[in-house]
Amino acid sequence: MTESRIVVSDLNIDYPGARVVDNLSFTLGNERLALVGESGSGKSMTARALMGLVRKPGKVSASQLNVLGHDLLAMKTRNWQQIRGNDIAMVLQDPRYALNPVKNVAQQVDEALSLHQKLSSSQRRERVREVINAVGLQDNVLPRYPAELSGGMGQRVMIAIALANNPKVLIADEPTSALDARLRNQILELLVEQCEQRQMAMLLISHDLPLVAEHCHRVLVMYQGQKVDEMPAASLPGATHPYTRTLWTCRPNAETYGTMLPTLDRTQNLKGESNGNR
Amino acid sequence: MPSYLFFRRLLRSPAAVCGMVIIALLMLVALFAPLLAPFDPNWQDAAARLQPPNSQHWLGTDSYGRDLLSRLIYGSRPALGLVLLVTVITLPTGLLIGILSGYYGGWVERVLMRFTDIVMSMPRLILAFAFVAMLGPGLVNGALALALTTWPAYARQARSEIQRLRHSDYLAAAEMSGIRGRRLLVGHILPLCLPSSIVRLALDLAGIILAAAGLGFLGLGARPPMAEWGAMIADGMQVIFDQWWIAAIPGAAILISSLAFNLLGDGLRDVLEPSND
Amino acid sequence: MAIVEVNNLCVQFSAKGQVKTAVSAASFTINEGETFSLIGASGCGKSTIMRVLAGLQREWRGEVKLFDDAIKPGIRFQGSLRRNVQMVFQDPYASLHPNHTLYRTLSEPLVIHKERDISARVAEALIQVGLPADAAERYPHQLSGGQRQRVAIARALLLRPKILLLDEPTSALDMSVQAEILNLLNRLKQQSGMTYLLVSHDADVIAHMSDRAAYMAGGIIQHEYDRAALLRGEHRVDAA
Repeated sequence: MTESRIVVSDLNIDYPGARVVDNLSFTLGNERLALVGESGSGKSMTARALMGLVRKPGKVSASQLNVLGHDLLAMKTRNWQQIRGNDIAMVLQDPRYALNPVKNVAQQVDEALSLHQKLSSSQRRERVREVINAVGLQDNVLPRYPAELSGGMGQRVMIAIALANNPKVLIADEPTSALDARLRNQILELLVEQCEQRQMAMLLISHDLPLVAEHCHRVLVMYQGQKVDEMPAASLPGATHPYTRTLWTCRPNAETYGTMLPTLDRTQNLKGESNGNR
Repeated sequence: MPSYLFFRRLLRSPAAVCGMVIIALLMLVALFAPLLAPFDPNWQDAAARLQPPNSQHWLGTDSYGRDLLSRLIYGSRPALGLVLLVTVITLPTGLLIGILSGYYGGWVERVLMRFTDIVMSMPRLILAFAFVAMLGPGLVNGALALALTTWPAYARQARSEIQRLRHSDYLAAAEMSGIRGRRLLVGHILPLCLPSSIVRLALDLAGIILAAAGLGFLGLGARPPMAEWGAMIADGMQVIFDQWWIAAIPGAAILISSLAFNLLGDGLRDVLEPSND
Repeated sequence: MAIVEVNNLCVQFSAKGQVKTAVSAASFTINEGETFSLIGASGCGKSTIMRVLAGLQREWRGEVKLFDDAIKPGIRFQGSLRRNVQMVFQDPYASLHPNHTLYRTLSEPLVIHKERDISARVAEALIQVGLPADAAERYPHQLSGGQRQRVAIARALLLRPKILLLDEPTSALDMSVQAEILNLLNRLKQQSGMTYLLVSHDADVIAHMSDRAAYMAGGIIQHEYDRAALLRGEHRVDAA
């Protein structure tokens, strides 16, 4: 039986005046799960709760919030520092803002290593080169600074930093939204390849359904803080829930020319399952 | 942002509220000074010289026998008057020059900015000396000197903000609607420049109070026997080792007033210029 | 009938002694009632061309004709020309003045042009884009991105323009909101017979909206595509 790497039960995240995540439950095994939704759906907040990055005035509460056996609700800062970047790592959206602009690539990957592993400096250098090559970059990228990298290369560096310590869970928060269409598939394929090689689970946060359908095993659809649909990724094109259907079919393309695109009826109560008060 | 939202947010900042309360108290004290002060601030009672705080004179008396509490209370008037004068001169002048140079550019900008540079390079206190030498000592002259050396920074700030805004969509949209000239400058551009100027002003006023006290201390501000906190400190200098309260008490008043503006400025900055997450 | 004719348009910027050519020798026409799109990576010059046609970029060389009248560089659009060319900007968070209520934002263009029945016109404009008439009392920060973009469209339509310039109107919006805005734009176009110039980097949006399109790179128009070519996805290869 595959162990659950992440167990979330009845997760609530509250900000003054609004409940951003409402009664969310899901598990993540050794697989690739996508959290899909639009702005305000709570998907990014969920990812941050799993990394302990929800700050005051946000409040996280749940009946269970477990990552690799660690109870996140009871975690102290010291414990967080041990597992973040080590057992669980995160890749963010925009490398321009997520990478340290005054350190070069080698230093940033090295930092990730030295925080969690006791290696000699030559061993660290070797590991840095290994992981940089694993993400498809050449050694000549090592002395460069983030400002000298293109969007795609910056994203690969972020992935290398995340993978440096062989995490068991990777959270990727919109890793391709800041990239050109051509690069998106490449980066996702890289992530999928690394997941398979390292037997790593991935939680992918995205608003791009076709991308998710192609690269993930399961999909969880969120709307205004609640889970409204859950299914294997291959079933996305045939989804029956009104919100999921609309998300899948509302995309414009050459064939929809001259027609009205399907849109969301926002007056309808799309959150059928849980009884949230809104 | 719209005003109702601004005030609501401001009241949530403890620093701002604290600053505002102190400033409000100061204003009330200045306004009702004749009612609050137990004695005439200039009444000299030779027999009661250099008395420590007692039941008759709550804060004691100075070397001329004048009641310190009354002088302290009356001293709030020049302090606030100065704040008002500086605000009234600095803000409009700085904004006008900054907005005009930023918006029109070209030779208008060059001329106005060079003029600003010249004024900016003048040292504040030395200019105050020069004013006093030309026009004679007095609070208004000192305040004028301070105000006239403060506005350049506002002009610079407003100009750089406008340069940034010139390419913004707000102004492009206004142009597409046919909005130009005074309507554009006053209705669209000014509201965008005002917040940072106000923050700057609140923080500057803290320093202006200190500078004014400095002028008073040097004898360039209020003429004796007017009660002004800086001048009071100068009075207390001679007897500072024995009757330390004569200098310390007005010093505390200056500190508290300056602190109040600093706190208000901090609160304003949090509301008007929130840092990006 | 060609409502916009551009011939050999050239736009250069000089900054600190260096001359940068944003657009060189661009030529195209836009016919009345069609949606014409410009595609290309950022920096290719498509936004600059749009700003020339909007009257925002007043330094340029070449020939530009709007509504059969040649326009000259350096002049500010006024009168009927100003009314007939309007624009919807990309960032819904940056084109509505944060200190103004929607009523002020929508009524000001009407006041400037000395129109009558202003409150009725404002209410009508809001309803036309699917917002309630009482939304006029609100401030931009109280609206979502999609709602703000609707207000931006309402503002652009107030002066009843003949051409609407759309600068990446949906790139900052969610997918489902994008669908609503694109539907709204198409519906309005059908009702009024306006002509659209659309600039976008999104190949799908271009393919859905355009009758004709042109691909730009390095300030030059490289290819033009008709409906058939768009259906074949030829613009996709070039699009960023």
